[in-house]
Amino acid sequence: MNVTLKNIQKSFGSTQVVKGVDIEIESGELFFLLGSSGCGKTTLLRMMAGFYEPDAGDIVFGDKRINGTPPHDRNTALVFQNYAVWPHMTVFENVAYGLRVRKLAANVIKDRVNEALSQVQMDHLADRKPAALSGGQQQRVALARAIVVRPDLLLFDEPLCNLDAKLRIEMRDVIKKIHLETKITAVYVTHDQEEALSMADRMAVMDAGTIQQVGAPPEVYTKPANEFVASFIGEINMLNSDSEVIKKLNGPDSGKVGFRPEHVRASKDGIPAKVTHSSYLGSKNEVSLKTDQGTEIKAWLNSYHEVGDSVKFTVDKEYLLSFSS
Amino acid sequence: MKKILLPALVIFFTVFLIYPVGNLLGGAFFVEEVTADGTKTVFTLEYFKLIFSNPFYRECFTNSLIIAAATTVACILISMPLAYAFLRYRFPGKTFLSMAMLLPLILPPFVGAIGLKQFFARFGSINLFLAELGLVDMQNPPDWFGNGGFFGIILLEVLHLYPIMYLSVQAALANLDPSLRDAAQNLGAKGGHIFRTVTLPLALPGIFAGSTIVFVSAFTDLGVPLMFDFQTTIPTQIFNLVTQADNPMGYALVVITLVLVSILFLLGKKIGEGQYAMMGRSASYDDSVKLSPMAAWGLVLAVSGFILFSLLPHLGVIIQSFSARWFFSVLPTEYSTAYYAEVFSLDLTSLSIRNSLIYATSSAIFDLFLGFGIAYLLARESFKGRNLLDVLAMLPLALPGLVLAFAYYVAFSKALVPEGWVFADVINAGWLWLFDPTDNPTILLVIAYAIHRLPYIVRAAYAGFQQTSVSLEEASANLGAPPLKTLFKISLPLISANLIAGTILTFSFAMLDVSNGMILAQEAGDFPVTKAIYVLMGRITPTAPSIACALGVLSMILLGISLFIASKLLGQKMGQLFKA
Repeated sequence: MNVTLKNIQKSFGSTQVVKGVDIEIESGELFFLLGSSGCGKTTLLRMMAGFYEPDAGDIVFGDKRINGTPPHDRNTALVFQNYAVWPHMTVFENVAYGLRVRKLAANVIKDRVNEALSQVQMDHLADRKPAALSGGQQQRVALARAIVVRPDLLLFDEPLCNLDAKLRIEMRDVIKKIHLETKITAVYVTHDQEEALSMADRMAVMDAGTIQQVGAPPEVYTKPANEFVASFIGEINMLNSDSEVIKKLNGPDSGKVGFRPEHVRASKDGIPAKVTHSSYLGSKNEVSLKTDQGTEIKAWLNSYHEVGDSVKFTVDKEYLLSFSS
Repeated sequence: MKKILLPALVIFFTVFLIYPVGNLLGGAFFVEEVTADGTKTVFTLEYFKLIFSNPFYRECFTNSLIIAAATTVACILISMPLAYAFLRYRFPGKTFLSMAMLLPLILPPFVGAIGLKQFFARFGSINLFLAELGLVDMQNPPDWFGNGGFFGIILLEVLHLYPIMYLSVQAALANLDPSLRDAAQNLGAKGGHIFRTVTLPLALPGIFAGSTIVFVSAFTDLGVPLMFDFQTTIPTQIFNLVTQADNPMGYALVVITLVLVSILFLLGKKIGEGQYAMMGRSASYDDSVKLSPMAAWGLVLAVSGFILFSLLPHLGVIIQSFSARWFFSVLPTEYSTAYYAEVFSLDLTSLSIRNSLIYATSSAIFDLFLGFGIAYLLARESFKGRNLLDVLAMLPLALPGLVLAFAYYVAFSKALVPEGWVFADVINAGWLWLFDPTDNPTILLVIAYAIHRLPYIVRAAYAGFQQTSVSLEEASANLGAPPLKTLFKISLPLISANLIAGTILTFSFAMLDVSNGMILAQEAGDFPVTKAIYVLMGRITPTAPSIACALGVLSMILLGISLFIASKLLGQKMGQLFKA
């Protein structure tokens, strides 16, 4: 099922949290909403689930306008940030809940719950209460509970942000795998750019209630639509087009120009600079460079440099990103 | 510090908790048998058999159970929708109404009985008003209190106790992570189904905790049945048997009450163990729903209507306190403020105010030191018997006022050691001089009030210590402050709000208390306010009820102010204080 958001607006009190958002989510894709906290991404997600009603605009599921439909009639399934696994029910009962609400036959419920639990590798813990589970296991239960009802739309509200780093990476694979198996249209909200870049089919970058750019991860990273996206995702050196460095690199002569640290390379006839800061990370050497004119540049170099070393650097023209100011 | 504190606590708990309760159990379960070679003490269940085979006591027991059960059920039925509405909906005047809802707590229910009787008695305002409209025949007016006051008792208990239930239910519901409800709705469940499958099961431990307090309070309340002169309840019978220290039936009745209460508390603990630690709430969002103006005002009207009804006893007391003539008329025909002056000139009332203030203030201050000391030991020191101290400090939760007061009366009004022991005369004379309630109940009353609120103060102070990181104290010690300086400069200020609020509440509850004053204060010169009101109501002088009510209004004002200050100090945590 494809989902269309048309000019969605939402205010809480006098603050406008979502300021006219248009998105087309295609059937079967894993779509990411990426932004820092307070940018309106969770509000947008909760509007799709039906917990909030937009002040203006249309939410369309397939070809049906869904505004005003209560949450329990939307057939979405939300995976909550804090799991929201019911502590008084066993794992099995948690997962069976949505099926019981849909009044399915007992044997069907049993089969589907077991199937969902084995998809998240939790079938051996079906009789446990959530208190006896780790955070990662609880999140697996929440995931099984969502997919078992075969929703038209799967929603993720920062599902991994309460987990530690190692589990987070493990759960990314679990979610990705399950999405590939079920091919349910999914919207995933996160502030973690690595999560978005590694998992998304397409992503929307949000800031202050508006969409800044929509696209596949490589497209967003290599061709950021504006300064905000460029600096929000990955690191970037942002300079004025009339600065000496950009002039020497033969960059564009208007607006602002940015380039990423990994695209800075040492070159015999490059711009001379001194290393002012250096941290060696094994696979790369993160350094800060200061040109003779005093411009500071971040660079990730392959070779090791100590503070005080003289370096000559350049950036290939294809990596210079131009932004109209 | 623990070297001085621990031995003092051992003596304190032995004398004021273990000895009286042990003495009580001994009186109920053991009998002295005369044998060939003197007397010997043997175990017996005879008294309990006697109680349950006696139709009169059976009736008392049934009545008390019905009163308690009906009160609990009614309180649940009232509190659940109220708590749910306050949690889920936004409407005008919400803060004010939730404060007003606590007002019934500032009046002992038996004083409220005076007020309510003015309205609902057979020749009370309601019937007279209905007669004026021609709806009621005053030759045979309807009896609203029913069955010799039986329904009146239940009504008063409900009106007094529902705020406690409300606070428990509300706290239980507010603790629920809203995303647990959202998850259910998201998976297709509707309101009623979500309530049955998610909200209710998760709130159950809290609801049960509230029910236990309400049930026990209603079961052991002495004042209201006395005011209705309703003799067939357990508390009234215990009261009648107090002064017959040799009669084992009193012991047995009190022990039955104690057993019932203990079972409830153990059950509550068992259910409470299933309480679920809520995971961190999801991103904070206001999930209360704004109502349409019509619905909002309808709700406001219904809630304020109910609160007004629950304040009828207060209103009756206030009107009565100003009425110079209120006889066979809907409202008083003459008003006067003279009774407030008389409160201060009459010996009985002026002394009772002085007594109550002394009792309540002393017990509050005593509790402050005791509670703080115990909490400090529990939180910061390690010693043998730590668990025992914890249990002893929490034990009073399971000892209703009636039980402890009876136990004190019988334990401290008799000699401590048998004659024939070394120095028996001196020991016994000293013991009775200190404690004998028929002589001077001050010490016993102060300690009884203090012990009742001790668990709450200990818990508040203990929680304060736990929230205060030890490293704050270690930092002070590390910079060279000796332990006592650290205690007063660092620990005490950090938990002072909790402590002050707890102290004010001890004061308030001492002022409100009925059972202890009724049982332990036997001489007019020792009466606290509540007993003075009770005695005044028994007098036949026509101005006595008005003076009693004036005294009631004065204590209501005092309590209102102190509870208001306590709730301000505690912020939103008022509800926790009433949770057992």
